[in-house]
Amino acid sequence: MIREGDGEWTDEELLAAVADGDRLALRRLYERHAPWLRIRLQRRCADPTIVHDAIQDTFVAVWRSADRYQGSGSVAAWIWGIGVRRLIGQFRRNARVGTLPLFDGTGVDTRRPDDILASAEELVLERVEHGNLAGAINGLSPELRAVVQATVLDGLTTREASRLLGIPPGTVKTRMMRARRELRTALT
Amino acid sequence: MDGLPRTGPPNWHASTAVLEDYSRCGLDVARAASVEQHLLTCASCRDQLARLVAADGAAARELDELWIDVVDIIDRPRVGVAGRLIAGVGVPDHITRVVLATPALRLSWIVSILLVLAFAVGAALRTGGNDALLLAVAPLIPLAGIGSAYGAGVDPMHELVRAAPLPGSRIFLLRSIAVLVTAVPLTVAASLLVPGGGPAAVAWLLPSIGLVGATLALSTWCSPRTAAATAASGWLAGLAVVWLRAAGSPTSAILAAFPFRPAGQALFAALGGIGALVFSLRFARFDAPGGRQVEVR
Repeated sequence: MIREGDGEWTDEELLAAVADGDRLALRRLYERHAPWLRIRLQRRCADPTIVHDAIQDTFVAVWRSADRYQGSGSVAAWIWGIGVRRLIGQFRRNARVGTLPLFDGTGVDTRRPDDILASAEELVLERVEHGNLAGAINGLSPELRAVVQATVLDGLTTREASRLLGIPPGTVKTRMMRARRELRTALT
Repeated sequence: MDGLPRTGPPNWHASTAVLEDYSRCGLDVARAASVEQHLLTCASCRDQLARLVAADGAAARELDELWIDVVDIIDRPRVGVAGRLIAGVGVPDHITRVVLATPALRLSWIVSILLVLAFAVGAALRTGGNDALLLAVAPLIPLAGIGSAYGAGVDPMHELVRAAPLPGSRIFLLRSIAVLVTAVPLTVAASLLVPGGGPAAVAWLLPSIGLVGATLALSTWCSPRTAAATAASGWLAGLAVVWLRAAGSPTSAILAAFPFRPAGQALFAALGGIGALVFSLRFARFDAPGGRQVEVR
């Protein structure tokens, strides 16, 4: 059992305690991870109610499926993987709401979108040493940037990205191809 | 990329100014992406960000409220598939729980029903479609479930159930319906497995309804268990008489026995109706203080 005042438990230890039904461990994880998750989701969804519900769903899911954490990747990345999918789930339930096309990190999920997107990601990672990457990404049109963000950096599948952005999956793919071309031009 | 992280192990940390910008939805997309990537791997920057959020009263309050919502959900008992099915038909939550706690809806009960049915169907198949055993046993299956639906000694959770703010008669009735809804389709399905049975294969249905009615009526005098046992004994005694007095083959005598002839079918249907009527007139006795449900065992 995690006790009040216990010092440094790692996220992994807390999660193992949550899997054993330790409420206080869940509280610790919530204190550590809810703040950044909230900000990150807020940057993707303009509706506070939906963000609220997505975070709530996320920690309920953490409580119920803590034993399914594989140990590959950080607990934070695992929580993010749940969080962004709960956000998409909320979109599905609440018709459409406005999203803010912003940005995200890699390595979230073992699921790969598809070959096009995977090679685009390689491109981005290869070029990460070059200082003009930020400029190149910022220089993309908002539509293309949103697709790069959702698929490459949020690690979503084409279908998930299409739900998040409210555009058909085919459009996600074509925009991703255009973004890839533009990035390549900008970086070479 | 001034002051922003690249990939790799974090010796680098995001500056407070960058995190503040980030938390207010500032920063351009590339920098925000960089911060988000870093946050996934850096506990120290996550803590720093959490402190910034905690310093913002509104955000901290919102997170506290959110936590209460999370706890509220994880404290709720989980509802299984059966529960969602029942709730989907529009049954209120508290009724769903009372019904789901029916002893005869447990897996062990359903498995025993299936075993009994498999045995009876097996006997019918072995004798080339002679379903006398099935006809004799089938009406007793719902009776067993109803007899154990309510009362000390048959329901392990009876003490809790008695404390429920619902009349015992109502709980008993709801659970009896749940038992019928589960047991009757299973038994009908089993009957239809017997080849050549035709409509005769479900000739047990009206006798079963009659016996259920009798059990309901009797339960206003004695416990549901005694009532069901009485009805079942009556049924078996009648069939035993037929069996013993049979001139030719006892099984064909049972197939031609009174309950399975049109007049008998009508009589049992009527018995079902009368039993339900008696229960509806006398259900107050079921709940009466000092009545049979208070009996101590």
